[in-house]
Amino acid sequence: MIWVAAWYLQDLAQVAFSGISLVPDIFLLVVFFRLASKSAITPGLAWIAFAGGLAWDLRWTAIPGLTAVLYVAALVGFGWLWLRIPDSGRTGQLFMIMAAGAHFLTGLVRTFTWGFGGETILAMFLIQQLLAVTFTGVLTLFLTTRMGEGDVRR
Amino acid sequence: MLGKVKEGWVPVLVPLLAALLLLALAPYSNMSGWSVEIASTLLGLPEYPAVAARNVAGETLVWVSGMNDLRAQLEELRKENALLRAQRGTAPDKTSDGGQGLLEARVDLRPPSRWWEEVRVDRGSGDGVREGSPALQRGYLVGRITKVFPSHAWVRLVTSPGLLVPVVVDETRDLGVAAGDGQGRVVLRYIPFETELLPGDTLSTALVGDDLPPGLPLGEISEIVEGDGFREYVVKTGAELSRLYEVYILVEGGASR
Repeated sequence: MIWVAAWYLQDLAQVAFSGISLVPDIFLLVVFFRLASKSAITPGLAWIAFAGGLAWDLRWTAIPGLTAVLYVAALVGFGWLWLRIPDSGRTGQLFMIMAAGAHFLTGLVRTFTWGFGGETILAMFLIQQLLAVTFTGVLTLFLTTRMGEGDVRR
Repeated sequence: MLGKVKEGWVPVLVPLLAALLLLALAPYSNMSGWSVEIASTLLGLPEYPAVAARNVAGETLVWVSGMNDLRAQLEELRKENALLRAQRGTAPDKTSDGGQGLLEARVDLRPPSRWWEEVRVDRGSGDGVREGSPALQRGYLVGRITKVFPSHAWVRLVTSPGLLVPVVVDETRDLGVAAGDGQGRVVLRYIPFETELLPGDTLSTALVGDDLPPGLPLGEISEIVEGDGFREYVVKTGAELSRLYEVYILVEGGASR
């Protein structure tokens, strides 16, 4: 259910801000959050990233596979790094930096794919990243709270 | 303990391969067009709140922008109206909401030693009076505010030698300067000798002035004094300066009384 909610939220934001700003990949950030909170990467999670990305392509990009590749690749890259870090090092701050960084790279690749068309798209891209950092901050708060409660598997 | 990759990396990479395969096939499939159409149709209803919010925000922006335009137009019209009233000599309304307008002020002091030079009025900075503002009587220029205090201000009269008013002759569009002699007379200067003005020609403030708005009537030429190589035009002011009991001050915003 959380996946549908995250995707739907991202979709609503895209409808509302279409032409004004690029919207952050809320769905992808929630996938990162789930990975970090479970400290495990499963094929199921990878298929969820694939499905979310593909749905986005079918709705918005009209290039089936583009966002799916980005989402799954970002998940694999993020998971590979995150799971290499020892338990004691997996802090909320690190999650925030890594998630925002992975989101930045994903956004950069996508924006380059569409073509970096001048200052307008650059401004939209920067706004997208700022919003993503804000949303990642919220997720980090959740994550650190769960870490404090011992609800996060290390 | 390090985190886990349940069931190894290979099953995790399968979705990535599937996505890559889809992406590779994308140029050869014709699913992109209809997929967007179907997705748009299916999501039409769930996306409605965002569409509605977007429309409301857009309409609000247009409305706010329209209101700002209307406000600017209203301000312009107020200024124009105040000037027209001044030019017509109509008793004006007092300003009430910060726009430009004419503020009624009573002359409460006229020192005999400076009888033709300045008067004091019972309006000050608290009423929106600013230095340089013109003072009028029946729409004709009386003088200009020179000193402002919270509750009163001093008006330098057009008959004062210290007030030089750039004016235009309405009939010929000649520019000159009206200056007082301190004895109750106003003289028009700097008109070329070859230009011949006639008694009855009217004078208004010119656009070249620094503070006074253009088009405020001053009076008319009443007498022409011919001299040796010069010609002097005596001006009869429209304002009755010997019956100066109240004036109207052109103010811009802040009038409270």
